[in-house]
Amino acid sequence: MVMEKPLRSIGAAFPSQHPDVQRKPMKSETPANDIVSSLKDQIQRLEERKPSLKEVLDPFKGIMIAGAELRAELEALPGSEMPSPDPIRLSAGVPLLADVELKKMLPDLKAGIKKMLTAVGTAFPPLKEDAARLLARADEDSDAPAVWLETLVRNEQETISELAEDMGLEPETLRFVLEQALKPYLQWLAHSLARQVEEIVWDKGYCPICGAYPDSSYLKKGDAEQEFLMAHGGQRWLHCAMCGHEWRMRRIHCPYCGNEDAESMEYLAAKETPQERVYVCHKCNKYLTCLDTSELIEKPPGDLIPFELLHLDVIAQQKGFAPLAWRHWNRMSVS
Amino acid sequence: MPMTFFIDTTRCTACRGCQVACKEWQGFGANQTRQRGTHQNPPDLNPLNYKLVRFAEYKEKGRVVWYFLPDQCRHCESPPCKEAADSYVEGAILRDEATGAVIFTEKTKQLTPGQMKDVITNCPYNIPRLNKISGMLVKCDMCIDRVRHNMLPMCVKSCCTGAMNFGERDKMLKLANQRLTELKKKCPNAQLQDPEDVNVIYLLTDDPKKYYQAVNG
Repeated sequence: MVMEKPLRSIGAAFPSQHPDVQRKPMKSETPANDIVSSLKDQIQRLEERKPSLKEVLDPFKGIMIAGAELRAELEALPGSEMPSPDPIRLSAGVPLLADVELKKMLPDLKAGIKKMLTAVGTAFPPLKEDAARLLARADEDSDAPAVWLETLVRNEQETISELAEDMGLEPETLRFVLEQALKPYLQWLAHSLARQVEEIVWDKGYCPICGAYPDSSYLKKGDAEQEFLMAHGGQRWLHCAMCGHEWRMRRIHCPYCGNEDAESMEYLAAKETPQERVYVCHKCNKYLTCLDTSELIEKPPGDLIPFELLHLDVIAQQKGFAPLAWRHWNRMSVS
Repeated sequence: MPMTFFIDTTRCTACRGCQVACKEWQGFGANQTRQRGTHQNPPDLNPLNYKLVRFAEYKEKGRVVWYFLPDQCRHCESPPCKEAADSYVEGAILRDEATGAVIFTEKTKQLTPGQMKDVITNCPYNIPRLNKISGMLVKCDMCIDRVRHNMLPMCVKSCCTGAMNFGERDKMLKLANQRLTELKKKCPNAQLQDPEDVNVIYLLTDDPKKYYQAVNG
């Protein structure tokens, strides 16, 4: 299957004026150790429910657990400089991190990068050497990881190709290793910034924080406890493929092309598992998987939902649809 | 960690959605019943009703007061039914370690009528029933087929008032105690029923005996 043209270059059309910077306390609502143990627990349960996923999950789970451990360490750090949102830019559809200098917001990345690149090398032995080269570069130039992260967030394909050539790596391999190694930092930033964007009306299909498209979505019951009847209806939330931020979106609305014609959109689901769905748009031929969590005991973590619904990627791609976000596990040969 | 139901009877409107949803999921047909002057219908738990909303009504201070109890197996921490059955037929009653669900198996058919009676009377909550057609002892199975797939039991899924809740035991105990503290302000007799011993915890506003004789074992 041909790799789609990446879709993120939103920040480039706007002046590169940095948002104001202010110091915000950043404390997680979930105790740090709980993030790690809950993730391990959820991975184990997913493997028990769907043993066929084991092969796909196996390499990624080591990276996910290392990432959760790193995030737990980051959550324990004191506050850092965070940009405050510019409502005008946001309402014009510019994600918060579109052109922010991330270095100002990040702690020392040295130990974390080592941990993550080691985890990537362990999970994917053929990439061990590539990961080691990146680690050596990070040792030489302590600013490099923050610059790499900016490159990823801004989706600067050319810069990635240049760096790949410079280091003697394949651009796609470089991108994969960097994404896996730097994702925990982006997730941590997104978690710290989530409150700043939650009051803002955001009706775009891409993430209000980093600008990436979602890799999955889910339906959930409303949070508010009602005095009498409890709503069973599902709000739709999209999960960002890069930073993991989740934002609410109308149900009958294609996150890619904005189509609102219900006749040209539908969802596919197996009769036995109606809660596992893939929403397709016949106008732009894109799809997004969706888990209806309203009758689940526990919602799986956002990072696991794409794996949980991987079989629907196969079905949608077989039918000629393309995902909103290409991930390394949903590029498959389908016929 | 066992899974636990928290049933907040103060939110129950006795719509019986849980009762019907349970029958639907289990694939049970209708019961022939007759009007007996109460909304409690059918009159008791039976092989086609693992769940029953019990109604009790009293006249207090010139007002009619209704107590609703969505009755079902409590999935005890140490199930007395299992203790009884184990001494006769190993494996007739199992307790699923992962979920805490107490499950009556096909092997209950091997129990003699006297042994079955022993199992039934050992239940403090008067739950097990004999299915005369299959010859098995039957009761709520926690929708184990759903729960193993991370799905809520049918009665919980169908509840539109928030009376039925389901989750890991510590989370449900926390929720139950929060609701109890809140309710105590209005109803000093409010209490949780046997929270230490069972995995179906009821929040009641008043003397348990007013709900149903066997409500507190």
